[in-house]
Amino acid sequence: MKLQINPFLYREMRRYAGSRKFYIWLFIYEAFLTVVTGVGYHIALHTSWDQIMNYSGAAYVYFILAGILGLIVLLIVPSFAAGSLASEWEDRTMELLLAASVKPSEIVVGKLLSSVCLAILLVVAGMPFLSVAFIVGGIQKKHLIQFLLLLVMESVFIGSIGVSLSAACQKVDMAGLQSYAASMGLFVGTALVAVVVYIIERTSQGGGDIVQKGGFGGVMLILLFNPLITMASLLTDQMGYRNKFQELLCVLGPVPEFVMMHWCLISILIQMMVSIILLILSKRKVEKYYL
Amino acid sequence: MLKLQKVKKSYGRKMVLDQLDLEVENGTIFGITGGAGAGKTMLCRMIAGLIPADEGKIMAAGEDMAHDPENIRKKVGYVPKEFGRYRDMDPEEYLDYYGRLYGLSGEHTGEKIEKLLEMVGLAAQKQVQVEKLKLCEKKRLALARCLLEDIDVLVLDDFLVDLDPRERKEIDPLLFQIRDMGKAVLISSPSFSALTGEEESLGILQEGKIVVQGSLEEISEQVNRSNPLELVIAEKSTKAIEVLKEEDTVTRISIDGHKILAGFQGTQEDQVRILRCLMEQGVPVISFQRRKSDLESVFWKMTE
Repeated sequence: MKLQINPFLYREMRRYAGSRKFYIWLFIYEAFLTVVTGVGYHIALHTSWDQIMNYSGAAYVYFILAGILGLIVLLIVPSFAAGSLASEWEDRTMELLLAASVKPSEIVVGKLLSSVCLAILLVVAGMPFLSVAFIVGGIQKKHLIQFLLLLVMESVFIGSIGVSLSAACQKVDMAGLQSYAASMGLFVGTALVAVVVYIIERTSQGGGDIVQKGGFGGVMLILLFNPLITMASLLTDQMGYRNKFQELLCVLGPVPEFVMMHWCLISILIQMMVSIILLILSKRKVEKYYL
Repeated sequence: MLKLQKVKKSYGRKMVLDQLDLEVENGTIFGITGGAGAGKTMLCRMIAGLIPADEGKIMAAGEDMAHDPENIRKKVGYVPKEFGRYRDMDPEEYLDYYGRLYGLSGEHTGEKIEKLLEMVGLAAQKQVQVEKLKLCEKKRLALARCLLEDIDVLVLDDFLVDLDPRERKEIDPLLFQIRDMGKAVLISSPSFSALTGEEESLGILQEGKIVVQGSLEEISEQVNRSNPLELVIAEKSTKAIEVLKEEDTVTRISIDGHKILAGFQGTQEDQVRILRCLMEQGVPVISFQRRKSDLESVFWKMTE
């Protein structure tokens, strides 16, 4: 059986491959990562004693690089995903796609794939820089693979939000705006909720220790939807700071232990479920357009 | 072959298509016209499989659209009103993209694309951005896209509108070529004048129904049936008036010098008989004909 690349993905890939702008941006991106990696390891080497490598310093560079990669990916995906379906409506090409006996589900998944493909490409392009930490030491191969997989899944999550808003708005600009607002709501908004509850509690308790009184730990569960926290949970775990991360989670009160122990996995599962629901809704929006 | 049987479609309380019957044989072109909101685009979208019928059957290549819409869509080529924007593609990439959407790939597709570009006269422009093509070229490219698949029916919504006569000269032979390939072609247009004039059958859609259907001659005959007779005689003659007055099919007579205009409700046979009588009575007839309606006046009359 012949393997056929999804037509939407193929189109996007061809578009990138044929665009000079893309190569310029890729060069800038690689140059930026080179500088960060170079400066990072230079500092790490200079803080070593008696020519002995400072492994924790190398791990910090990995942490910073991974954070930068994650942020870039999570900031790029919404704009691509938001334009995915809306551009077909704006360009009046959706009618032909539907008439071409392409299933609405194939259109939605294809559009998600093409939005995520750039993110994956950037992650893969950034992998050599992360791999330096693996060569220097302090980070294992499996950590890199885990991080790569996490970024792909987070891209899918953020991408599906963008695709669903794209299907709902049918206008590229509006979908882009809403997509960024939704992403920021997840990145900052969920954290803000936890911070606000923390401040209110501290104020009402007169600065007492909330962890001991254990009232609002459940509020922290909202952070399961936050891709940045998911990423932080994985990276802190990889660096051996799981306890610190769990301490932070319990700042409002006890969080169910099972959730705390498997935060990253549960978070990914929840986000993937949300993605599936959003993609189903997008599919319905597409198939009901002419009805 | 395309066949619609008692197709009904409504939006809310508005009946868009009402018990519509239509048949387009393979190797023929059917032109359908109607005013704004008559339901032409809805009809085209339904045949293209985008919108299901509330009632009735839509059959393409002998199969019912309701039973296997995805497969039957492959038998129907569809060109919507708007071509759409393809900012980052040339004609070759455009056809390759749709080929992939249709599930075609491989060397044969490449060859097919080359042949189709040749056929629609775009081989020289195959690396020009689609956005930079002229309207007529875009339309030819759309036809090539439809022919990527082995279609049985071709549906063209408002396809010939906005084309100038020179562009029509490029497009029309292509349509005839597609017809001669054995495809059933349906062209919708807001006016008769935008149709090719070569359609085997024409129909006027009004309020969701085809009010007139048939060949151009049949429709003209139907409409001309109430058109007056125009006679020009060499000299004033009371005999001509007498002959006409005796005819039951003649309703009223008006005289303007040598020209006589007679209201007429008869057939071609009646016309022949009247002319024979005039000749027998020695009326010096210079010309004798029934006033003809052009396509546009047919359209106006039928949609009044």
